[in-house]
Formats: sequence, C-alpha cells, structure tokens
Amino acid sequence: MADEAAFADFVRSRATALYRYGYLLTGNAHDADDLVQEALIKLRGAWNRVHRQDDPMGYVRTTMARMHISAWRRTRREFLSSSVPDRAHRDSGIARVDAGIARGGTDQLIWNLLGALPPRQRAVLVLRYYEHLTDEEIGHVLGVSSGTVRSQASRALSKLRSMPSAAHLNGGLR
Amino acid sequence: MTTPEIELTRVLETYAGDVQAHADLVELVESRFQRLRRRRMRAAAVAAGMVVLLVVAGTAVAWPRAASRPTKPPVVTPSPTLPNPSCSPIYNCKTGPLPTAPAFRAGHWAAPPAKIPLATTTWPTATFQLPAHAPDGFKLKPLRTIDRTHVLVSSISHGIDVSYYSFDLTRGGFRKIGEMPGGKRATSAGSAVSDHYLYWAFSGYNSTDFAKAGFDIYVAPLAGGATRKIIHVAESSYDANRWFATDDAVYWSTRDGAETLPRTGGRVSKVAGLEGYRLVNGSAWAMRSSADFQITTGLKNVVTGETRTPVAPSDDVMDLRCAPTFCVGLWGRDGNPGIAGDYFIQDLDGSHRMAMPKAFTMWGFGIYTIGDRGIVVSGQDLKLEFWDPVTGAAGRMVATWGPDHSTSIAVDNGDIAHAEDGKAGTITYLALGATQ
Repeated sequence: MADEAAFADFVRSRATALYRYGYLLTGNAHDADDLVQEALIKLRGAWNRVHRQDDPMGYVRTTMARMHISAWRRTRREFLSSSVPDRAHRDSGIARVDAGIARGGTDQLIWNLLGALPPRQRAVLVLRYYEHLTDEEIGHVLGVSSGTVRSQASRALSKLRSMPSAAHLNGGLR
Repeated sequence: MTTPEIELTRVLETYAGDVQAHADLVELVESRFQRLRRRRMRAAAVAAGMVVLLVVAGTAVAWPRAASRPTKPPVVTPSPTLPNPSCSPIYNCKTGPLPTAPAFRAGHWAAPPAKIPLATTTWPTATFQLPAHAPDGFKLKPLRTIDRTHVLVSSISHGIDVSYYSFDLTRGGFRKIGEMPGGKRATSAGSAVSDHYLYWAFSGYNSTDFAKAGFDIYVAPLAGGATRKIIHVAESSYDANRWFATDDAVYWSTRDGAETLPRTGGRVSKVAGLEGYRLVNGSAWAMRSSADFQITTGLKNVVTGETRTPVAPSDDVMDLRCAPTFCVGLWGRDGNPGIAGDYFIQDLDGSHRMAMPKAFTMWGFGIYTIGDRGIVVSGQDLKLEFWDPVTGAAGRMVATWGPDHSTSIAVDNGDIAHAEDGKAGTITYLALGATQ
C-alpha cells in the first residue's frame, strides 16, 4: 500500500511535466496521452525496483523517448473507442491544445518544422533544448552513444536550416 | 546557445506550457495496470494448462513404448501432494463453481429495448450540434449539462477557457454567463453548475510544479449578472479536479476528500467525514472504493451527509461499481473474472440481484454517475449504447469514418457524449443529464 501511495504521489506531482514532455515528443495531444499512460503503466509494474534503485522520472523519460521512437508509435492511430472507460474522466487540457492552438509567425513555423523531423532527431532536440540534458545524458536516455546524439542533433538542426520555409533561420541553428 | 537555439527553446517551452495532465491520470493508470495484470495472470494460467496437456499427451504417447521395455524394479518415492487437477482460478475446489445470478427479467429493473433506438429519437432535446465558434469567435467545447434544455459550453483559445455560455438545446442560441480572467498563461481548474449559478476556478500559475498552484473561485448567476470572485485558495489546483455545486456552496476534490466554500464567501472548510471518498463531477454523491478501485464501498452525499453502503455478494465478487441508483458487479476468483454472463446488477443493498442483459456486457461497458442517478454505457467499435436500468430509457450513438479515416466517439466530462460523422464533418453531442 505504501508503494501504491508513493506511485500515486509521483504521478500526481509529475503528471503535467510528463504530458508536456510527451506533447513535445509526439507533437499531438492524443499520442502524448497514450505515451504518458503507457510509460506510467510500465513504471507501475516496475515501481518497487525503480523507486528504490533509480530515479523514477528518469525511468519514465527514457521509456517515453524509446517508445516514441519505436516503430509502432509511428504508425497512424485512429481515434475510436471500442470500450468505455471504467469511469468518467475529464477531457484534459492537452486535448484542447491541438484544436485550440493557432500560433502564427516564427513559433508555428519552428513547431511545424519540428513535426517534420524523424522521431529520434526530434527526441534529441526535445531532450537537449527542453529537458536541458547533456549529450551524455541524452545518449543514456536513447540508448546510443553521445557521438550519435551529437550527429543526430547536427542532422536535425541542419534539416531545419535546409527546409525552404526556414530560410530566415539559416546560419543560426547549429 | 545562439539566438535561434534560444528561440527553439522558447518555442518548445511555449507549446509545452499549454499542456495539462489528465485529472484522473492516477486512476486511469492504476485501472489499466490492474487489467493488464489480470490478463497476464489468465495467460499464465492458460499456458500452465497447455504445459499440463502436453505433459499428459507426451506421457500417453511414451507409455506403450515404456511398457514394452524390460522393466527394473520400481523405485518407490513418496509423491508430493498435488492439488486436484480440476481446480483452477475459476473453479475453486473448496467452494465450487462461481455463483451466478438469475437471468435478467424486467420488473424491478426496466429492460432496454431489444433494438436500441438512436439517441436523437429517444432524447431529441438532449442531442445537439454545436456551431464551430462561439459568439466571441473562439472555438467551442461543451462542458456539462445545466438542465434538461441547456448545456454549459466554453469558448477556448490556446487550450484555455475564455468565456462560458449557456447553449439552448431547443433553440440553439448562446447566452454568456462569465469569462475567465487572466492572460493566456492561465489554466482553469474546473467548473460546476447549480440550479441558478455557475462557479469556476482558474489558476494563473503555469509551471511544471503544478502541485504548488493555487486557484481563484468565481461565481456568476445563470440568469445573467455580474461575475464575482469569491476567494483565492492557496492549495494545489491539480487535486481540485472534480467539482460540484449547489446554489449555496461549491465543493471541490482534495487529496483526501473534499472542501467547500459558501457562495456568499467566508472560509474554506473541509467536508466532514469525507476522508477516503472521491468527489464525482457534477454529482453530490462522492464515492469510496477499495484500494484497487474495483469495489465501491460507500457513497456519501456531500450536502446532506447521507451515506449509502453497497452490499456486495458474500463471496467471489471481484468488481462492484455503484452509481447512486444501482450497482453492477462481476463474479470472479483470485483476480480472474468468470465467463461471460457473470456480470450482475443489484440495488445498493444487495437486493434485486440478477444477470445484466447480455447486450450490455458483450462488449466493454461502464457506468456513469449523472447527478443523482446512474447510466450504463456499452461501447463497441463506433457505437455507444446508453441505458438507464431504473427508467429503461435507452439510446445509441454511432460515429462514421471520414475520408481521412478519422472519427471519434466517447463520453466526455462525465455527462456529455459525442459522436463524429467523419463524412459530414459534424459532431453530435448527447447531454446525458438531459436524458431522464
């Protein structure tokens, strides 16, 4: 029971941060929702081990990044309900982001460019520029060497620069 | 970092800043985890059974050969005491097969129609479509039922509630009730509707350390009038994710129970005796469950203090979910449900227990508390079927695929369902609170 309570406390205190991380990884609310829930279910199964020996946040961050990159995350999902949730749940604010967000100018341009990147390159940028991890830490999260992280980041930034709509960013992102 | 890198960082933080978590995330994860664990246990049991079968089969095949060989004097070793092979998680040797309930028959419970009619036919005044935009030009989102002919909607910008309107289900017009203060970084914590007032809460706090956020509570009369800030609550707005209101007071969930505040102002107070209960959006009835959320163990009315204690079958119940007017349960043993047909419906006191109609258990289903009553919702592919076992009212919603293979159908916010016609590009909403 104490473990369950600790897990619940962890989820409550970190939920928003995880949703935001998931949203940046996937670029859309529904996949972010799935990603967070799937990662937390894995953490729930490993909670006894993880919270005593490791950093639960690091575990979830790693799980989400790797799940996102894996092939099944990239297949298009369809939004349907084949079963009813056990109980009512509030529509999260995250679901409103896709519908309500309508930014203009540079913000939307950069966001759209990020969406065109391969999952691993996008993950590298999110971990580096949002989570502010070092290349070594990113390598640990993604299960690759720090050299691979640097090359992935370089390719991602290079792609951003090379996209026609990002002409004004040329020479800036590196 | 270079300026563009700073720009990239800023864009990431800006887009992330609009995101909020599911209010029920802990419960959702726990529920899915328990289901996954049960499936794995069943799979393990099946796998163990297969191993037994293979061993038995292998023994049977090998036996004639063994019999033809010269035999040595047998070495007698004491055999361990083995359980009766007919025992299983479903069949307990000590207590026999799982119990069953009598077949469903109309009487105390009102049977659903053999063919569930469309919700638009059963509840024409409870089904509606929304215009794409609110009068203020922002997109619309239905929140909950106000009464049988009005539904509360909000206009949203950047994912944040901007204004609240009453939408007339019969005439289709909007009437503004209130608006959210604060800039675009504000996040709303929740809202509740009583007979004559709308309450809502907002938090201007915008950080990943959400648990430290506080929130302001506002009230406005539904008939029109000035918005008034009642109080600032210096507590977590994350925990305040379920709301209920009367004309006299507003209630919201906390980590362990609920708190309340008079509409006229004053002090925030803890609702006595509600420790361990979970408030339900839009209902005075708070619920208490077993540690694994599988058994509803109590209902308590936050206004009157009335308590109802569900009576579960004495043995082998593994799931009992209750609304204020009925419970639906499932027999099982050792974490494994019985075969199909083991779902039952009963009064809270355990009386009038009988099998659920097969049509509502064949696929996934759940029960929702809508105000002072409950409703059963069965889901299959692109169809949702609703049934009130007390009144017998039933209706279905059907979604259709669009050319881009996208569609959606679900129950939102506890009392509003939606189904998307992907071809027409329209969404039909059903206000469950108006289905009586």
